[in-house]
Amino acid sequence: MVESPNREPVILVVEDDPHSRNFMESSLELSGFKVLCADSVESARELSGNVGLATISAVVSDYRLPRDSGTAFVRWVREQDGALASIIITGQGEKSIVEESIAAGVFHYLEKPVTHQQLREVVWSAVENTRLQRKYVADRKGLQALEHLGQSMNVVVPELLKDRLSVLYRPLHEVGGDFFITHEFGKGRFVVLMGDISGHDIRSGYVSTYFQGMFRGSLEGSARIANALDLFNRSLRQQALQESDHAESVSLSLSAIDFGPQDDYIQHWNFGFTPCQLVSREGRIRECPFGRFPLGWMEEISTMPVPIRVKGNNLLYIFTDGLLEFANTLNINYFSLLYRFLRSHNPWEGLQQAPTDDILAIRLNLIPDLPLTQSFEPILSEHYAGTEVDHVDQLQANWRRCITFALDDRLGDRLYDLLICIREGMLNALTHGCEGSSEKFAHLQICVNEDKDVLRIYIDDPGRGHAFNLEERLAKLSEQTGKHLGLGIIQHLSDEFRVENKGTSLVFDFEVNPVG
Amino acid sequence: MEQNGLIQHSGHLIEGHVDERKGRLLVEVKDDVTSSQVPELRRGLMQITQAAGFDTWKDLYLDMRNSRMIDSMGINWLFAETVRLKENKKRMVLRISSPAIYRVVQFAGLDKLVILKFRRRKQTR
Repeated sequence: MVESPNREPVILVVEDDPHSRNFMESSLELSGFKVLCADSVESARELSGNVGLATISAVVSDYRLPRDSGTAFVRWVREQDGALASIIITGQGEKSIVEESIAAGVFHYLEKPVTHQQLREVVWSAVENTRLQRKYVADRKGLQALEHLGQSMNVVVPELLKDRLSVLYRPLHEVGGDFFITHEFGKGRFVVLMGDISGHDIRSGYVSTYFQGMFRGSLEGSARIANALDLFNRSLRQQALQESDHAESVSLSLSAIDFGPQDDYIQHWNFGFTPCQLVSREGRIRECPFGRFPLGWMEEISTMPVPIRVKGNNLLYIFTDGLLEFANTLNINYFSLLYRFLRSHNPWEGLQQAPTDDILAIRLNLIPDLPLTQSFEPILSEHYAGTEVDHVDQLQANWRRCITFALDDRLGDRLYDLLICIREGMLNALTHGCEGSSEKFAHLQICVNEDKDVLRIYIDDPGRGHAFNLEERLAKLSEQTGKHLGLGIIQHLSDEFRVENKGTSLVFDFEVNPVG
Repeated sequence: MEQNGLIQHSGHLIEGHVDERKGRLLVEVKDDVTSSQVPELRRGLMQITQAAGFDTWKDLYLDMRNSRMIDSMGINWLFAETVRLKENKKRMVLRISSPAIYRVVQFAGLDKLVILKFRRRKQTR
């Protein structure tokens, strides 16, 4: 309720002693309040019900009342309206009553005898407190309504894309700076756009809403994406010029894709976003190139899209840096987080740590009619320098954490078989392929195919490989303590094992238990 | 040489004592048998066998029931130890509970060189 500033604040006085009640009524009226009086808790409740607690600005109650105590009434008031301040009047030195009153949630207490001056000051203070608390409650309700609106706006996926596009969205505050827009041009052609306004505060949320409106309007008006991007950049530059020296200017990181059902290439624009990730039909993960600067940084921008080849690829992931930060906080790979969260109805439940930024991520199935479960979905993709060979135990602990986070206990005891194989493969890649050098990197990828119940591991190193046929050698591995025992162990423990690219790529599969 | 029955040596990944009545050198491994641990395990077992001497025991019982994993470096170490024991006319009895270790030991053929005692136990670490 919004109170009229011109109206006298209403004070409810609860006092059974007529002399005290008359004194408080007169004193408060003299101080500019409108006073309602009750001589018991029952009559005070009845009176509150008649006038409505929302019309009352403070309650003054004696502690000692017939039948119920003053604190019992204060408890009831707080249950009905947590913002309404109450004052308890006690006898002198009644310490236990003071403690009881504080526990009941009173705003203040006064010891008898109460003076006119004391009463006026404390009641004015209580009235102001009620006003501020009610304003706070109203503001929170407004922000929560905005949060619901933002949550629903940012996960709306057009019907035709519902089987192909999954969205993970969580704003840091009620109003987030990240946003997600889809637009259908007809005939199965879509634009998907993700934005990330700099900053984490409500101002970012406001600017985000502004740009969402601009972009939706531009697309509805059949504007080309390139034109809309140019318009965004100019708007941000103008805003930056108008800002005072102390104000931080706003920038917009943005990743947009434009694609049709028969297109061989997706058109992609990336301004300051984390590079998107492509997953091939076989489960290989490839990072797309880094984008340009965020919008608002440069006077002139190139709005030419970068083509992404569809053929051979099944999945495309785009996400804000909030996802990477949160994965770092949890000490896991961001794909483990995405794999689990995109499957969960309430992914945030039970987590010990909270994100420190807005999180927005999408997964797009590039093959329109292919069920997601038939694709390999990544749960880890990491590059390690050759020098990491010295920290293989820490790496192994990280692999275990990521696999367990994504798959729970679906590997059972075979988790250790898997860890041995990854360890052997990575030691081989870091020692031989990377030669222990800080300049050379090996790439570990782990992905899962739910239809086949298969976990696939790729280990790629930058070495030259070998001229001999490793598979033949492994088949004839009679001297078990020989040079290739590690690879022999992988072959023995995994369900499928092959080497590619002259041995610079190891590929092995493990069976995982079906979900549920 | 011995304190509370334990043979003193550097490191904490391995500890051992002699059961003279049964003629066994009992050695317990505390962690996984992988490349990072092998140098300390090798040094520790060497010190334990040297300290125990070769007169009071016949079989080395290597208890790896705390280990979840073994890698190729670990297997190489065990091979080397079986050879060393054989030269001293001793045998190795390997106690394991991890199916992952069992599979690797079998694959490597180590089960033909040692007496393998495998009782499956759910891995809790």
